[in-house]
Amino acid sequence: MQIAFQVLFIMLSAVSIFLFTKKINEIRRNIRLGRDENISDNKTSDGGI
Amino acid sequence: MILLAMGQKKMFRNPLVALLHFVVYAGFIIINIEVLEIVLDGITGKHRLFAVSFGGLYTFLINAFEVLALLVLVTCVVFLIRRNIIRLPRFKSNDLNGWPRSDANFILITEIILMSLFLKMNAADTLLQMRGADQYAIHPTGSFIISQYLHPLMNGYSDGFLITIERLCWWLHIAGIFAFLNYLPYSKHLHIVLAFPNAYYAKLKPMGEMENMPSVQNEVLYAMQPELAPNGEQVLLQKFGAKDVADLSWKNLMDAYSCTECGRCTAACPANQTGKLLSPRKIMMMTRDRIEEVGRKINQHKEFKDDGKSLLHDYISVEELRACTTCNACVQECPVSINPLDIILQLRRYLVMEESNSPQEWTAMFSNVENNFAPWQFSPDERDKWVEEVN
Repeated sequence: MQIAFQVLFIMLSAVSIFLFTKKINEIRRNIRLGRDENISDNKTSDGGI
Repeated sequence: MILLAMGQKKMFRNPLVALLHFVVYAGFIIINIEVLEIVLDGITGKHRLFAVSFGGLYTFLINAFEVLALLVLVTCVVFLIRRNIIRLPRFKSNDLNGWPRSDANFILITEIILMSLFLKMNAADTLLQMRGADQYAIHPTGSFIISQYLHPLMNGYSDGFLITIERLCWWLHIAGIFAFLNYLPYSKHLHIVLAFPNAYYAKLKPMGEMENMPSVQNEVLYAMQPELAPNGEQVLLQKFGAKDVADLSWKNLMDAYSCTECGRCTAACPANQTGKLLSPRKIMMMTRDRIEEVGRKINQHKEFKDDGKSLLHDYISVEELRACTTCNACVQECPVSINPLDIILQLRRYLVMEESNSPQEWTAMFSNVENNFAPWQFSPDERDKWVEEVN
């Protein structure tokens, strides 16, 4: 019985993370539709944070 | 980035709200440590996996999480009151009509429910421990600081019922978290993911400085020094300014996805404050709507086919764009380092340079600048005439 819950949980997690990743990658693709812009200038001496 | 995103620096322009927001922000991050244990419990089938190894420290940590959970819950209630009862101007605004307003309320209500589930789960669990029930008493943790006060409400319940409550809350809580995770990309709550990278990639140049347009600079250069012009077909691939989302830079688009719809930009905008149509927040929301629409069409048809619509005109009007004074108040205010002015300016450049779409007053001024080297009608020869009059 317990193992059934574990399997259900793993499936729920996997589906959830899969769907989330899919949508995030879609958003990443959408953002990349924009024009290229070089933003690597103006780094501070410690590397930019 | 550390000061802006981790330290929430710009939020502290309004100190009380910033403190409340910091509670939710820090609470969210810290409570997610407990989610790790919950996930491992779910996979392994164990209960409170870390209780054994952490001992007394475990109880201390859960107590800390419970205090934070209560603080988050209360804070979300305060935020709901701010939005719905007190109704600050930037929350009352028409920008938020429809889905955006519901989005905000939905997020806050979900947070309250999730925190309640967590506390209720702990209450049922520890009460079962005290009663010595089944597997709950194997690794006793002792009662927790907040949920112990829920015990009196549950004393009348049977063991079986309590177990049902505990399991139900456990499952609903983690299912709720997974559901909320997937809700994130469709909501303004996505800012929790994007705030850090958006701050990192923000422009560091002083705000008053406007970007020159290399395409225009090159045109002038080649006119003055024709030998520098590239040979063969000079095809101008890039249009002047921006008409649709693909003409905007990727940073502009990331800005659009990062927008929390807080409205601080619009609240600071002098044009908006004096009744003009412009709302920088609306600009960002429209950009996100349009890029999402374009994205959906690409999903359907594999590539983007011209649908006869564009960001300019169909989503953002000429009147809004003309109202902008380029003062940078919106850029200054934004807590997640969005630059609405960049988008406004690019759209306006398209209007003027590609559509010749400017009011008569501006057109006259452009003409004066071109011919008289000044915005006014007087000839350049008369430039120093005032000197004679002084003497």
